[in-house]
Amino acid sequence: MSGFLAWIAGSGVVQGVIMGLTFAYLTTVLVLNAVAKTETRTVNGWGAIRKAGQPGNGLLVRAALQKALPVVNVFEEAAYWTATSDDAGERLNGDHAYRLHFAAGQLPPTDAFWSLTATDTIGYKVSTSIGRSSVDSHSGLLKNADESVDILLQPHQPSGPPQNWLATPSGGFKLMLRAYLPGTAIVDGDYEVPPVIEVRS
Amino acid sequence: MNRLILKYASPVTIVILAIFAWVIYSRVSGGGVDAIILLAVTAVAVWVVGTFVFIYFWPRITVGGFKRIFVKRGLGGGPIPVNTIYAVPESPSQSASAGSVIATGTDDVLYFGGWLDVKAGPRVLEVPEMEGR
Repeated sequence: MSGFLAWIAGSGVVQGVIMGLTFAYLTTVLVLNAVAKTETRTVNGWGAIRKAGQPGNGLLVRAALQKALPVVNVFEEAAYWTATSDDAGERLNGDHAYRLHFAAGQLPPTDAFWSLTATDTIGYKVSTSIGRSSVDSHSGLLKNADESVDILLQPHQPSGPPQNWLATPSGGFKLMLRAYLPGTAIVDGDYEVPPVIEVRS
Repeated sequence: MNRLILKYASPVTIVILAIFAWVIYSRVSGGGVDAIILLAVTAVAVWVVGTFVFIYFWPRITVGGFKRIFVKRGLGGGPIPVNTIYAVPESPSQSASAGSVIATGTDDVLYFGGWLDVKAGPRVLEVPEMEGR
């Protein structure tokens, strides 16, 4: 028995198992990330996954979406979009100022509320100069003369209305837009979040 | 911990793979290619089977992780007994540095969590009147 254990230890089987499990885990992560990516619909730089939590998802999609959005609501309950780059494809960074321009009547239609947050690139909240890191449907956003709405994304307070300002962290960041009880236009896929445009001063 | 793993996934992976490479190298330099045949065969077999197992069980493993966190650690107010729903009294943002599972980066929503077990029969959840709150 002890001879067998010594052979096992020396044969490389144990090391093989450890390496195999590690490779299996890494492969799983790569496969699930790739599947989640194919399930992500990106419009204007905003990616959304619509199929999470649907009963018809196969084995692979089910696992991939559980990895991408663990215990998430179904899309009809809460729609989420994330953006990590601007309309030119450049990574969002607190060194720059950005504008999100919603044409008249094009703020996210919801039966509850919507919220836009800036977080670090992983998704954790970060401290900002005003202690608030979101703009939402209760922010009292000021409209432009043509009824459109501009939200300014920059680290320092802009000259415009402060309620239309989303303070961004320094360094790379990620935007997340949530719409709770999204309206028909969102659920049907007709609604498009406008691109994040860099403001060059 | 959670956050560190997320942040340093690539360097950690590279270090692990480097250790593997070193193990292979020291085996080969000690006893030639023959010394790694069994290791390689085992690794490939475990790799193939393990990938299917990990993908198949991924949802169960992660949901099991949430159950463990709810029941053992809770969401800030200590362990949450089974069939109890705990309402996190404040925005989860404050606990981001502690790596809370619900550090979702927003202060616009409140989170509720708990593990429900309906094995013994259906449960009724009474939600208080929330109009105007």
